[in-house]
Amino acid sequence: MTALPRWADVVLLPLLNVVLAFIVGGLIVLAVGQNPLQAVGIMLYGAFGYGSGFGYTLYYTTDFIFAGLAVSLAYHAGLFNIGPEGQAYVGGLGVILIGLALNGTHWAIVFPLMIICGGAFGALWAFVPGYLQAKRGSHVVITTILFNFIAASMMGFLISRVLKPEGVNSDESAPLEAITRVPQLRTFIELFKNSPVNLTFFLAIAALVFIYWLIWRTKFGYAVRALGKNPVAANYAGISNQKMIMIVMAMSGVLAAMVAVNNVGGVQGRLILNFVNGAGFVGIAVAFMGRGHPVGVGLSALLFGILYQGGQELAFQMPGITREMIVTIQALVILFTGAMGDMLRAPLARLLVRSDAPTGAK
Amino acid sequence: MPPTLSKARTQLKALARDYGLEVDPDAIIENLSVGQQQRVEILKALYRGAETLILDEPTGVLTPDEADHLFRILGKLRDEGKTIILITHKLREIMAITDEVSVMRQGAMVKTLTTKDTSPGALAELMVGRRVLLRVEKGPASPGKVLLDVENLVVTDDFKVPRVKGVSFQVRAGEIVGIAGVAGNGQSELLESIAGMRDQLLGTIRLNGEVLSLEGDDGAARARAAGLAHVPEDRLRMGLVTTFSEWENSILGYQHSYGTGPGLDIAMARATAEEYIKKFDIRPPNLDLKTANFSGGNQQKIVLAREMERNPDVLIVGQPTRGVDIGAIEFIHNQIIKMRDAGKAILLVSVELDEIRSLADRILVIFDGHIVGEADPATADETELGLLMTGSHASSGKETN
Repeated sequence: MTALPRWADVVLLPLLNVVLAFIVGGLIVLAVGQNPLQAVGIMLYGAFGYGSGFGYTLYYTTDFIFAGLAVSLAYHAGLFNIGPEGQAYVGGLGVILIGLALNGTHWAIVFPLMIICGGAFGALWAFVPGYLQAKRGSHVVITTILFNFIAASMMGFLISRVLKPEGVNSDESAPLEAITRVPQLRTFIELFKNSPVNLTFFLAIAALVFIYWLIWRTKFGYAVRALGKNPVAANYAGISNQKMIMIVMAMSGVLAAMVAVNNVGGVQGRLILNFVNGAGFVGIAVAFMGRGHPVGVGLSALLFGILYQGGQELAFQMPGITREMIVTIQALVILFTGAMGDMLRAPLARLLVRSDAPTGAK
Repeated sequence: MPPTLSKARTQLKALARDYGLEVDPDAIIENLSVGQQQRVEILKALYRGAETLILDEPTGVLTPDEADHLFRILGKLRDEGKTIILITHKLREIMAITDEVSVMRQGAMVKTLTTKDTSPGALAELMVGRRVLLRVEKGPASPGKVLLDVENLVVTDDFKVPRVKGVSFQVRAGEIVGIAGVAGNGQSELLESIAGMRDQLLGTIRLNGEVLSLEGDDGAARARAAGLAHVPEDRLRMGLVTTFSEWENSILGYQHSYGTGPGLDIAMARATAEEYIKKFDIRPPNLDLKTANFSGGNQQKIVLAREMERNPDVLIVGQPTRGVDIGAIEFIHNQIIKMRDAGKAILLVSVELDEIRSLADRILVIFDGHIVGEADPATADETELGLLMTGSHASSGKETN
């Protein structure tokens, strides 16, 4: 692969990819007879222009940070975890079980327990594919995809047959009392009224810092990166590939399960069907766009937060633009930043090398 | 229109016959030996009508026999009027087969000479820019107590096929024991097993009198903790994470000793790397440079510095100078001698017979997973060693059945 200067690799390339996605998206908006610039304006207004819109943006961003970090951490160990969707879903079971068990207790006690219990459920759901990869050689890409399906069926059964209280029509668990739920920021900050962003947002910021420290500043992170870059050399260095694969997958599952703390513990206050709603899959795009680096993950999670919240505003404000079109634009961003993320690498490298040449030559 | 498969097959067979490049045209490449794979490459070039062949270190992976075969083919091609450019660091090959030789040093052509008018010594001097000793200078060994004791070791490869079939030997403090053999006779599995990277099926490995238990895929960590250092045969695949920076590779395998808690003491690791760079003259002296961007010789110095400077009791070394330039070879050989003189036990595996003969104090010959003979490098006869290495010597060596 062509070498790019670090700043170009980390900042310029992702930025160009996003711009390209928006240009193509803009052409589509033009094609349906709408004004693309106006559309961008509405999206940005929807994402930042008023308190509850901004709150929603941060709420989505929280989900995407956790899912993005889950994928990134595993990726540093050379593991492609496609399963944050299912891990978050199963994590929701842990969150609601501890919540219901302690229903009525103050959130300051329940919140940390939700993190631990939800995390443990998510960890278990990711550990099993990790175990199968480490001990049996079953590829995690396959097993985590399958585990998403198993999670969906199992959780569907549990919610509609086991957790649903008597006399309730919709498929959902009993609700948590207000005092037990993770508090929403609107109770402290007037700006966020009518929006679901809650304390979990700060947990997400803390997770970004923690994962950065873990990967680049600890012996464990060193082992993770050695494993991801060269498993044979890791083995030579005395790093147990098998143990590391299982530990990293479990940790990845913990991160994914924090999506459940945000939604089940914070926003819904109950376990509802399919609450993850694709956030786990967006995490894959977030991780790739952010190049596995917590700063990149934070920024790309924010971008997807803007796309989600601003997109809803757009669908609402511009009748010519449907929900499906918003999804198309989101898909374009994923396509250009993820799947075709390296498309501009070679031309960019040529351009930069050429402009460097006069100063670089002796 | 591209030729049909059957037509291509006929043409390839004819080419193979004309040039002695016999390869089954229908074989799957991964099932061929490295020597045969190389023949495929040459065949491919000839099939496309190449007039000029460029070969980069073609004999690095070949047995002596295969190398001779290759040179016969190259000679034939030359006689037919093809141009052959051979890039190699082996002076013997230059002298044996080339007509004209150009020496490159640090990216510039230093000189072009007619081969028959020059000598290996003169070429080595041009390559390094100063006088080089092609022979290793060392005093006599003074072996002390047994530090590495391998007893009846049986090791299998990834496909559960036994590769080391009951090997026993000892290495004493202050001696270098060389294992000579044609590549693929169990040397790699032997090294990896002693280093804790490959589980042993049977047998005992004692380090300093203590039995090493190395099961599991983190055995290498326990071997290191017991005082064993390992310079692996294949540094790019095993000894280095090439996408890591220089300083990160300077602590590979020893990362646990940098910092007390979970945190990695990066300042300490960088200081160590800095020290290694100075002591081993690693160039460029840039500890943030990606390891892939160092030359082969300097990459090997990174590995050697890391493994030697931790003061291990036992050092096991595989192919220490494979793909390394002449100046660095001299340095690496001297470092290994220095380790020996400091009272370390050194096990050296190399497919370069010259290297074994000049470094080792005792030579063990391995063939098909057995130690088939022992020789004194001072008196050993090259022909006899060669016969042992190919298993065709019946009188010496242990009877196995």
